[in-house]
Amino acid sequence: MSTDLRALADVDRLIHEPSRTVILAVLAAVESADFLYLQRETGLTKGNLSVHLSKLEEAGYVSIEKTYRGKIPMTLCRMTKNGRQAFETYRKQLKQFVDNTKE
Amino acid sequence: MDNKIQETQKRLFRYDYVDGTPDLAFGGLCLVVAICFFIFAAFPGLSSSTFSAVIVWVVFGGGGLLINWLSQRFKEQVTYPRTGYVAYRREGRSIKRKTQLLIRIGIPILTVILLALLFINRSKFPAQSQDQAIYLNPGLMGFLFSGIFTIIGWKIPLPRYYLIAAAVFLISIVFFISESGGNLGVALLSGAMSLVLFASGGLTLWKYLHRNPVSPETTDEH
Repeated sequence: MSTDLRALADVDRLIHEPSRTVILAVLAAVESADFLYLQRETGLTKGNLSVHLSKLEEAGYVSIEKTYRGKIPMTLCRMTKNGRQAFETYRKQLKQFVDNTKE
Repeated sequence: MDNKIQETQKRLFRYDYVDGTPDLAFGGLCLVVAICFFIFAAFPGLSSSTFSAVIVWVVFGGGGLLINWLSQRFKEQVTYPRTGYVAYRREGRSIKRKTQLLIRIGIPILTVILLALLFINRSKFPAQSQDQAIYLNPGLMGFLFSGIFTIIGWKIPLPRYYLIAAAVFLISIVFFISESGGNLGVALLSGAMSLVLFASGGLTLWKYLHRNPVSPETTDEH
């Protein structure tokens, strides 16, 4: 296996899942986003999004804060420093792979 | 996949503008400016006093902060329950919370006090040397704003800002050709701009509310 392919094989599997990649891509660009925004952007059901966020939280990539907007509960999601580093590494690995496999 | 992420991020950067509140907010600011310059036109003595320069900046600053505060409250009540909340990343050092609070509350209060003082003491400002202290060319100002709206339309990117830029450009041509200047000219230009922005913001908000009715389950289940 070439180095490029090995690099691809080494990508973070937790991030390398379409829904979680989109979640992280959104969170990477902002300070924080709430559950409703992420749900609309990913098109996931509440249950599915909740599962994906829990996985990302367990890995220490995302921090979740339960707060209130008036009387309405709001779940604020924020990317952690580790999450930003992991996402940046993942992005670089994919970019490297794509650049090296151009026709 | 790559396209989906790019589209998601593009939507994210446009998110602040989807409900038309920036248009309405800027329209509100233009209205404040229009009122301010209309007062200067009505009481010409005011525009020649040094006091007026301070008033202009306080009214602009205070009005801007007040309108920003109002648009944030509006978003909290209307936008976030419908399509969610996003906090953008701020680069650099942020001002301390207490200072922010002081600025947000202090400047609008100061604005109201100064405007009240102005109104109470209006007889002390004689109608002389009209339009000498603040002479602005509304046509050129309009062209400048038209350019700013074009840049906004290109940067975000949102086509409606090109339409606003075109409308402001046409209005500016009228002012430029008619050579109407001075405080009344600025007041009329600002008033016209506020109308264009209110129309754009109102239409955008109407479309946004129709597309995104508030669901009974706005709370999340995470």
